[in-house]
Amino acid sequence: MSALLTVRELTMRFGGVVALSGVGFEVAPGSVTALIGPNGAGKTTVFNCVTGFYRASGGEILLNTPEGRRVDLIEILGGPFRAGDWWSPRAFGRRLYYKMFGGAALAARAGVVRTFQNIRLFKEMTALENLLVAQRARVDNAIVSGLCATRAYRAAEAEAVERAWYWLDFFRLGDEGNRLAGELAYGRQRRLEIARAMCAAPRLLCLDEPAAGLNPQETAELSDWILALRRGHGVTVCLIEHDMRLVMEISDHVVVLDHGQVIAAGRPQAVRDDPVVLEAYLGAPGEEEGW
Amino acid sequence: MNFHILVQQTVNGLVLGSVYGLIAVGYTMVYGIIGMINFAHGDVYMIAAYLTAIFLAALTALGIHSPPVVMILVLLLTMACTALYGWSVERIAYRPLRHSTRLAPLISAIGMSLILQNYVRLSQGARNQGTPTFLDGHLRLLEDGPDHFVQITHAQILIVVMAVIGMGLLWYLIQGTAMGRACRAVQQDRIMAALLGVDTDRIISIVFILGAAMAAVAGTLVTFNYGSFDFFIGFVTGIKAFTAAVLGGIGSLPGAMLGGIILGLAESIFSGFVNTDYKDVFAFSLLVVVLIFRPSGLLGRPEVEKV
Repeated sequence: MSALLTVRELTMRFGGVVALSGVGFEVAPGSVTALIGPNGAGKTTVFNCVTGFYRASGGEILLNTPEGRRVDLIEILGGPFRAGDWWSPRAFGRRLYYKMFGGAALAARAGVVRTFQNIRLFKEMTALENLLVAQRARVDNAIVSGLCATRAYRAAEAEAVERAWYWLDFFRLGDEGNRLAGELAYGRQRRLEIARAMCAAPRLLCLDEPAAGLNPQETAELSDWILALRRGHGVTVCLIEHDMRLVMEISDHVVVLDHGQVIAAGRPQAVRDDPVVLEAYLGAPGEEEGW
Repeated sequence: MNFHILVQQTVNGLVLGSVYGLIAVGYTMVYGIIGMINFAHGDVYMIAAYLTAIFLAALTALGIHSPPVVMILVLLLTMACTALYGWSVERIAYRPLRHSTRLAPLISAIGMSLILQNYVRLSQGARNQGTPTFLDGHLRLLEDGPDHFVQITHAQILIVVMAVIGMGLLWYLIQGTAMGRACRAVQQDRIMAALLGVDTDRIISIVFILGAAMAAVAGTLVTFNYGSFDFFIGFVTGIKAFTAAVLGGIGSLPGAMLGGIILGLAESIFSGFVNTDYKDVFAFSLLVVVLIFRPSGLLGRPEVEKV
């Protein structure tokens, strides 16, 4: 089975600072993959590149959809022309197209949707509206049909609202649907953000520290939800997390980053016992208390 | 203090305020969504006045004379054409500079304003132009004696009614439809909206189009009412409408309308009772006083620092 997401030789430079150099890993369809590493290792940068928030300086990020389409997540952001483009009209045309019409929105439409560590909800809209905005593909965004409330428009709206309520109920936010997102308690905002991401119909759901700031009970619920999403909704999950218990519990594959490079990857147990990983975390070999 | 003058000036102020409000909506929406002032917006209003005259002449030449039909057709055609101008302004002056420094689109918008003014001056002439005003009727209220009455022209009533209808439709569009929801999302966090798959460029274009269409309503109705315009009317009216938007709280849709009405009333009552020459001084002093006590305008919310 081929990977859903393939990252190869990913490089990200900010001026002279190299944040990522030659990062490569794969995310298998239907898996839960965790990205871990010490602070400043480049985990969030990898996420930013994969989800279209940054345009990577080099390398390849490919999303292989089940329909057999292959989306280059760097190209769709409208990268600069390369030497090869001048010989091949096809490549040139694609580059030009994405330069004109490309952007982060295409990553979401290809099926990569994320949450943020510092929650980014539309705070002055209700929880329900937050979920409706994410259903861009489902609702009718035209001015005229909206003003006239045509039958197709109303049908699409009703379906979107129904779906939004489904996800609100799924994350036990059923009572909060009509409250402003910014008024919700912190833990609920986190859940709402995941619910919103689910409304965008993701193939690959990227969660940036979903358990940050949650109490142990909420974290346990979160891990159940993530597993339920994978099982019941065919979503592949990629997450950054510092809570090692959560990582060990739910992930199938762990990728460890340090100083912008992958230093280990494999099954959780194997990674946990890898001396290189321990050294990266603790600074000295042989001390295991940190885990 | 003369009661009739007060009522008359209040009526005039409401009419003027509706016009300011309709134009201010364009400023406030564009500011809300991209955080920049559209300096070409006043000139889009001026273009609407010219287009009104052109369409009036064209329809008359085609033999359509029934006033209601002509008015509706002219209004719709002008709105459509002006919307195209608004869209072009965004496409030419803003979108290519989207990822540039903050000041660059400001300069290009000023350039756009100069281009529009001079394009109209070259193609239509620098002289003051006029159209026949064909809504000549008026009402007289509170009439007691030959010099004591309040006169409201039909065109003035039309301006207020159309402003209310236009604002109502716009409000419904923004608050009640899927498109408006996407607009509000883009306004709050453009990057997050894009990461959820919303086509933010399209939404920004739509906001420019809506703003221009509202300015077109103002341009058309003012032309119906006064019948006189030149290539420079966009500047002063634009500045006033922008003041109205700031007064009401820039970024806030009801604020723009409220700011417009307050500014219109202030100007008109001041010129009725004190002095016509200093009406602008009074209007801007009002702005200064409001901003001292409410720095983000009457209905505006304080700027939240974005991460």
